[in-house]
Amino acid sequence: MDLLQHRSAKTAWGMRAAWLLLALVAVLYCGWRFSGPSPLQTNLLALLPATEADPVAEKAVDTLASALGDRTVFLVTSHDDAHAKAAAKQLGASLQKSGAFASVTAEVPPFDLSQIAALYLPYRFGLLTPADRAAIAGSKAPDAVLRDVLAQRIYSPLRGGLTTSLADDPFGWLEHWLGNLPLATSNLELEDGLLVSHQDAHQDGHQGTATSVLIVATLPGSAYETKTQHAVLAALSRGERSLKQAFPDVSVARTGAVFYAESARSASEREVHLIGLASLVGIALLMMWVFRSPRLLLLGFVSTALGIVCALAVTLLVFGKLHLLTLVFGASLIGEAVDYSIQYFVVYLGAGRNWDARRGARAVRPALSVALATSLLGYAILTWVPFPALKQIACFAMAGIVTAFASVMWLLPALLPHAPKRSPRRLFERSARLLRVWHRLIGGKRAWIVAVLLLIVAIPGWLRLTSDDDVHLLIQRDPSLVAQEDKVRNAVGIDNSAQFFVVRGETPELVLERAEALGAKLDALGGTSNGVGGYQSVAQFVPSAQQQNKDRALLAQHVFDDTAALRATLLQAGFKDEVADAWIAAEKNAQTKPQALMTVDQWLAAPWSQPYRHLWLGQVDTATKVYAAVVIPQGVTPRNEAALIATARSVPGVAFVDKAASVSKLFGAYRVDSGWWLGGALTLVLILLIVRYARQQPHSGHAAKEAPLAHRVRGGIAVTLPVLLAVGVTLAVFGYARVPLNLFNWLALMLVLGVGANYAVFLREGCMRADSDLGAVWTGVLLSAATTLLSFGMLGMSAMPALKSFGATLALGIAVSVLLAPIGMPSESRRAA
Amino acid sequence: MAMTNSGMRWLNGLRACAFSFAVASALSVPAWPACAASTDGNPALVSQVASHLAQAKGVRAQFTQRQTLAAMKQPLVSTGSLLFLRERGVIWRIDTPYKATYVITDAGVAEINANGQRVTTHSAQGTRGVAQVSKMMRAMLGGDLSALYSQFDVQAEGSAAHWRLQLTPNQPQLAQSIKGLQMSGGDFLQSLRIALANGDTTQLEFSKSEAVSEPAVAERSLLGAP
Repeated sequence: MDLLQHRSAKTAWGMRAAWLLLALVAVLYCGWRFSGPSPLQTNLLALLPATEADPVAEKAVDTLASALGDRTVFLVTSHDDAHAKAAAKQLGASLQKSGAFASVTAEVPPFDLSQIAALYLPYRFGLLTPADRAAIAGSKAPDAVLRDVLAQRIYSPLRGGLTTSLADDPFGWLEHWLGNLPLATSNLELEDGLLVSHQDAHQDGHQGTATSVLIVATLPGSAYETKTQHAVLAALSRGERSLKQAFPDVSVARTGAVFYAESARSASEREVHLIGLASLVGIALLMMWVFRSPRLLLLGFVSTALGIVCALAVTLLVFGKLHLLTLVFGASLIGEAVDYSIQYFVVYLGAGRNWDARRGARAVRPALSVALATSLLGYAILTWVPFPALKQIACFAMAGIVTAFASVMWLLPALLPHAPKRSPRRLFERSARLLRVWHRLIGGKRAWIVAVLLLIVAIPGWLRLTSDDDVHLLIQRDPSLVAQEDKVRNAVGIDNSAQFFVVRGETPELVLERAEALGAKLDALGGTSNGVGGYQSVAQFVPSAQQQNKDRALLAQHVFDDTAALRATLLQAGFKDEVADAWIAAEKNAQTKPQALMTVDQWLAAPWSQPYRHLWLGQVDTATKVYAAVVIPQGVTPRNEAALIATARSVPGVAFVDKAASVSKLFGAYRVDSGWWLGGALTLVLILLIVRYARQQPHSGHAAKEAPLAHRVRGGIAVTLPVLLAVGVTLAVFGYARVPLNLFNWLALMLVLGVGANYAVFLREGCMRADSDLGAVWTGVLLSAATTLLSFGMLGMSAMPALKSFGATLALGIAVSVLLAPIGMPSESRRAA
Repeated sequence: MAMTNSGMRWLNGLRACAFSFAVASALSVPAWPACAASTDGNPALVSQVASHLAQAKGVRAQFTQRQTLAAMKQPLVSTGSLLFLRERGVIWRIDTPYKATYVITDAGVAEINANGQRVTTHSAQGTRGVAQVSKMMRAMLGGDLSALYSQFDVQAEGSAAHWRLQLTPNQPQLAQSIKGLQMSGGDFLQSLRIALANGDTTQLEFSKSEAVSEPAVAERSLLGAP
């Protein structure tokens, strides 16, 4: 006896040491990871899967997002013009001084317009607008036409935006071409070196013209880094405070990816803390109330903490980064991980004086194993969906509950060697009575009646089910930030579209040609109801070599074929001899140098092209040498979208990208598929439970060997029935409540299957145990359910719609499956005496 | 790019703006208050002009335009007539050396060629710039001179009977293209001189100015619906 005790004591210490080591390793690893650059990912866009079958299009989305995402824009508005400008200068200076931004542009240096014309001047003989092209090509009497064009140019009272000198461009062709550049697309003007917009606005009770001054700033790092976010917000609040003192009538609106990221991150962090804390406190209170033992509470938390820490470590190891969404979900995992220890404690308390830790663990092992298997199955299905966040959540959850299970099986017995001192007898008796009453109501044969009743009630609910896959429902943005962004948009006048065309080709020239073809088609749509009202494309800034050569040939053929006549026309209009000669000589020069065509690289090198460089993606894929460019249409509405998609298909190498719609479509496709997967999972769970509970021999009275199939499967079916009905009832409730379902609801139903099955399993296993106290078992089941419900219920109150759907579905499903769990109990005759 | 917007807008609408302002100010209002001999009441004189303009509905006049351009052997001369209506817009009709009509309204700029067809050869940015300028002009003529002062330094000399205005751009963007405007007149605007930064100048002489309140029937269709 002593030797046995001694040996078991040694193994107990060995076990404790091993687990302590594991815990230390995990904690140290996590600590090391978090002490370095934060492994936390807060970018909600990272949640979304790659939707485009085309990696080039995917890269285009990313490039555009990053090109526009690093910009932060502030709008300083006031009814008083001078105040607005002075305030803007002050704010710009204080933001610059704070060092939170890489660059702050409030005052714009005077811009030399002639730079733009200067870039194109050497290539002017290849740049013609379609109207000029038609005029030159179609003219029957070229001399007369040229004279008219000259007269128009010289005598017109209006000159287009960018002008060219008469000597360089007598006919004004280059000037017309420059006029077609998509440069001025905003309401902004340059006043006193500031970018200003004047609008009628209602502010602080008085109507009138408000002056808004724009400040553009760029970030030193990613908008998703916590450090950057904090620095930006601190600098901004300091600047705004001093502004309020000096100019109380001035308001500041802000927009930029960094603000949305910060708002999402702080909301997530709040939720992690809230859910975690509420779960812990609630679970502690519940366990104290039931078990009346702080020691058990402590052990329960040890097991759960081990689970969470190991889950963190494993997820960081596997994925490298941890998304905040995973953390929020992980906080709600506490309620589920603690279930395993609760079951063990129930056995502990029910055993009384003859408590042997290892025997207790063996007794509870079947229940925990089956529960673990069904939960793992439920989470494993999540990994199949190609959403990075869901895979992470699944990994986290699986690692967590496996560790919790392992700690209950091996660590807790080492920590609970002695018999319990007290046992909540009265509580167990009361709950046993409750169970008996409830079981009499719904258990045994009456289960089928209950099932049929529930089905009848549920079916109308199912018929009312609707679905909505819109991705905007799932990723919500702070409404005050959205309002400010709208203000900025209205002032600046840019209609920033998230939908665009991606043009690809093997060479830059091919990309330009295709972009031109697309542009021509978009222009054709221009007059109709499908028109987009304008677009930005690289081909507008840099025509393809093909086009430039064509225009050169046209000019050579129609205008410069007879240089004497041309010269005479110019001189007749009044040009000086040397001016006319110089121009004609320039054209001859350009003709003899056919290589001197305008290329994209030259345009990219020009300083003024900076705001438009995102239109050219360059070489996207070095392996396949694919070049790509982006064409951004100005106004995409649901009405003209179909026409745009058709246009994209009609030009080779062009794809229409609409990330939001693609994701919504993907969500929808997976939602439909997940219905089938749920069915498959249900079948698997059913088979698993049938196999488990088929070993039950029917009561003696029948020949033991000839148990019919119906008898054998009855156990498994009875245990699966509660969770099956739970899924049905949950769907019905959503139908009646007119809440549209989305992918996350359906995924949560998988978990309802995995987790909800636990309770019927715990109950049945408890009943099948040799010396079990039904009251204790039922208390354990109810307590487990309560802790899980608490955690997932808190998740259902999350501000993030995706998590809200998850939590609400889970909570509802689990509640119903617990209520119906007694259906799974073996009938009186089968319970071991 | 926003940076070039203002410059382009102003260049585009410059002549239209300047002409219209000048022309409208030529409306003769017989009895101007007797602060006649003020030489340094610049803002006062300018605002007087503007406030009197608030009463002007429209003007019809003949013009002679003389351009001195670096690339040309000789100065270029064109003549024609114009109609300015504060609420509707401007019709600029060139008679010599070639016939063309330009219509500037809030909606944009259109050119009517010799066959009477509407030809819009001007770019989107250009027309928007002009539309903005004409809107600004109307505000100015309504007495709100802030937009004018935000782009120009205005100096006025003389008296109500014989005044001279000198406009110098105070925005560096605008100063790149325009050196200055000079207007002079008495009861009517007599001359307008635009000096461009590259050395070219345009001189406009107005004659036979008369007030109108309604356009002729043919012109009404050109200007479009009010």
